Amino acid sequence: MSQFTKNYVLPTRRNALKLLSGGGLALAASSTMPGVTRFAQAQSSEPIRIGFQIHRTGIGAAYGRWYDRTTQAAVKRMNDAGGINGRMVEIIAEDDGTDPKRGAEVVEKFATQQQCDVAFGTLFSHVVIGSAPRAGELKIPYFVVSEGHHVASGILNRYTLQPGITDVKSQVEAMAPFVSTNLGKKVAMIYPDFAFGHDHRDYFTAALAKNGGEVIAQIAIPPTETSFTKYFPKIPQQTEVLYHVMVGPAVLTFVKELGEFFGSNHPEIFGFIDSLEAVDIQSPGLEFLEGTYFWEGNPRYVQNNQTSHDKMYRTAVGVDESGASVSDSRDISTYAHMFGCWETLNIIKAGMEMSDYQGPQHRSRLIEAVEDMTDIPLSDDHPQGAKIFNGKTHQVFGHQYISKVENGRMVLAHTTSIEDTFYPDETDYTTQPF
Amino acid sequence: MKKLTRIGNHIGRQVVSAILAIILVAYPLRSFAHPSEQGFVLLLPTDFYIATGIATVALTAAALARLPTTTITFLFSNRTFVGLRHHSWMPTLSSFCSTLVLVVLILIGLSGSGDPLSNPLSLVIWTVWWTALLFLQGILGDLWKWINPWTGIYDLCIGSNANTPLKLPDRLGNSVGLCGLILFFAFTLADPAPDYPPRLALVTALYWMATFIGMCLFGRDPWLSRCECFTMLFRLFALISGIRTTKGTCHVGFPGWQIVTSRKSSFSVFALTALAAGSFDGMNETFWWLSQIGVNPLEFPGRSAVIGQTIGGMIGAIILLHCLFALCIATGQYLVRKHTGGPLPISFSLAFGRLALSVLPIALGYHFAHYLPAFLVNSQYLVAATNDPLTRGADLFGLGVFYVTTGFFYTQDTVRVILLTQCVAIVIGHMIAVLTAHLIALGLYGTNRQAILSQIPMAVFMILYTLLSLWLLAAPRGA
Repeated sequence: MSQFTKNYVLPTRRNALKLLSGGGLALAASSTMPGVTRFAQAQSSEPIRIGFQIHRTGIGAAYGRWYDRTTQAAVKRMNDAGGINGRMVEIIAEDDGTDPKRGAEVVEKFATQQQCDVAFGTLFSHVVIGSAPRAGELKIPYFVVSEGHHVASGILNRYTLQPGITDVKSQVEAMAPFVSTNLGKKVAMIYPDFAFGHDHRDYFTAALAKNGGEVIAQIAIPPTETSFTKYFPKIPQQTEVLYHVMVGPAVLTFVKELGEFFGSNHPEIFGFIDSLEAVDIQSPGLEFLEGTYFWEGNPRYVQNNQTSHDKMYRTAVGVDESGASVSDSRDISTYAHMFGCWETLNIIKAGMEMSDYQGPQHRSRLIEAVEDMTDIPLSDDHPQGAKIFNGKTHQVFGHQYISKVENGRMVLAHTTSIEDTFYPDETDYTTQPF
Repeated sequence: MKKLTRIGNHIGRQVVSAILAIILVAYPLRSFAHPSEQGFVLLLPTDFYIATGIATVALTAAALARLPTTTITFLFSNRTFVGLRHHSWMPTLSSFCSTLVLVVLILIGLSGSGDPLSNPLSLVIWTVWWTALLFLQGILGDLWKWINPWTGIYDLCIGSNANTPLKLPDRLGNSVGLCGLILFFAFTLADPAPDYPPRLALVTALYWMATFIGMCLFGRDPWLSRCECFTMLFRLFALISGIRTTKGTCHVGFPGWQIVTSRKSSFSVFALTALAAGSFDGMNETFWWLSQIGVNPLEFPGRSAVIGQTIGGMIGAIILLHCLFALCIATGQYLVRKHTGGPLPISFSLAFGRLALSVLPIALGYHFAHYLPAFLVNSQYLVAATNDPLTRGADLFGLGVFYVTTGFFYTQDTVRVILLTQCVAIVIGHMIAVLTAHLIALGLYGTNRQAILSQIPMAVFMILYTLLSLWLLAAPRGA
């Protein structure tokens, strides 16, 4: 058992509100607790203003479009159900240009000019790291949806939380048991030679060793590389599993050349869907991926055991059974990541209702309420799956999905336990004063 | 005391920023860069497309050497038709309406959504005006005289022939407009947020006022034709069009015929600057450029981190293009002089000035190709913004739920069509450039042989520029 679970203590404060921390009841709360609603309406008829820091332009724009779509759908659902504490929710969207400096300016604008209650939404890690200190200075809760390990690592502050999406460290480490048990013990890793690739290299190598496996080759590819054939001979003969995490415009070339190199006689292949997020897995040149495995934050294709929650979520966001837009089957969503916006907004709602949030003077109460959250059950509010929030590290932990490409579709092959994703706490933000 | 506190806060923020900068460099970042359309472009036979494009331009240049002068001249002659008559007040009215629209857009920019893809100001300025209108100006002729936001209100308030208190010094030439153009490109390329609505609204309003004050002080036409960079640029692009209308007559000819007959040699530096800066807008996103400035293309740190490098690169591109073009002209002059053995019929400066305008079709072709993908997406956002201009949930045109799609960037067939469309635009631009340069040279040097000799270096330049332009479309990008 990890240190996380040892350290985890069910909060005793606000036990009366504990049930609400289960997101499944969050929406119901606004309609089934008329007292709370009436009180809130008496306090203010102003909308709850959520500053949405969005990658409209810059390198994150493709993700920003789907983050926006998911956010708008989540807020519509909330408002249709009565809003938060009886108040409507208003999204104030500001483009950060996927730029850390602008990100900090946007957070400042939310806090000082636009009277936002909270800031929300950021994806790219460098923007989060650039913006979080300003959120801390201005004492505005900053809910990020970035997957980065920066929140749980302790380098940020008490005002920054990541309650709607798991972090990369837990994702990568949770893959090791499945890989070593089902695919093979001897793994060769191919990764881009910069921090993102190094994360995977370091987290996975250590996790695999704990699970009785061994990374027998670490092949770093220069970020500007656009042809990969010359690197493939470095893959050792005895390799049982090839782990790849290539990103950028040359990914498709990478897959095509990998297929040309190996043909039908290849080791098991495991990758992260980040490489092919928003790309149709049936695209020409990707045939080689048939039979290979991918991590998915949320399964893109509808599975046999689809939950009613996933069905509701897809309908609300406008995504079909293949993870594409209902208006254009070629427009594949960033399904593995964008649920984070939906779930984070529902955490904000639950936190505001638990803390009887009335305005910026209650921001610290809101953060304490979220810190007190623990079990988050699978629900319409949390369609990706059940989760456990760690109030000390401000990071949520949840199931990870491993899919196998079969007949051009990604079919769920394994779901990790939440416990598989735990690692020892690296910080305790609750010791920081507001 | 308050001041000290402010200074303390400022220093504190600087320290925090410095620490952050260190963390940002040292801390592992999650990267989400995914393939996008460029991934599919890299799978296409772009080398073949580039080779075909170059061969087409090269064959055009070679064919010109063979074609009789009369044939080429005939091709570029224009026909005159009776055009649609309009009253003189009509452009005044349409321009005045344009001013009103601009004022409304600026107000929405200042008070509306901070999302550039929801705010009509950002979408109209960058998608309608800069992307679409500039292109249409090069195809259909001078639309700008109808929709510029200054002449209408000026004529109504001041009078088109009003005396002005000051005279624009001749020695300034076009330098004010040239500086304006460079500043504009610096804003679009290097500013961290050129499409951020409040910022764009402020810049647009200030520029509008500065131009109007300039017109009031120095006169409408002198200011617009020599100092207002957009009127200058739009008028130059109108020369590419095969259509020209003047007072009830319509002159129609092969695209570029107006460049051949134009005597705007003083706009040579302006035209070359527009081409160089436009080409750099594309170059600055490539893996190659990002590597030159030490930026990991898969981990682009944001525009604010590369402001100096971008401005430096743009200035460098402008200087480099001028030097290369001058070298072509000088080499052409050398070849003619070597052939004739006597004095040159024209000066270097005249040849430079006249022939520089022949690059305008290249600029138009590149403009179309470079902005086509963004236009395909942002025009959809424009539709959505028109439906709900104040982002208050309005549904003015009954569109209901409107999903913007980029699906055409994610299938190989559609990406191929987009890329080939871009390539064709660039090749056509270069072919027209070769033709117009040859016709201008014929007029300058008098004989076909001298014109061909003078154009050998120019043809090499055009072919290499074709290579550069097509490579920019095919190159992997990271910013």
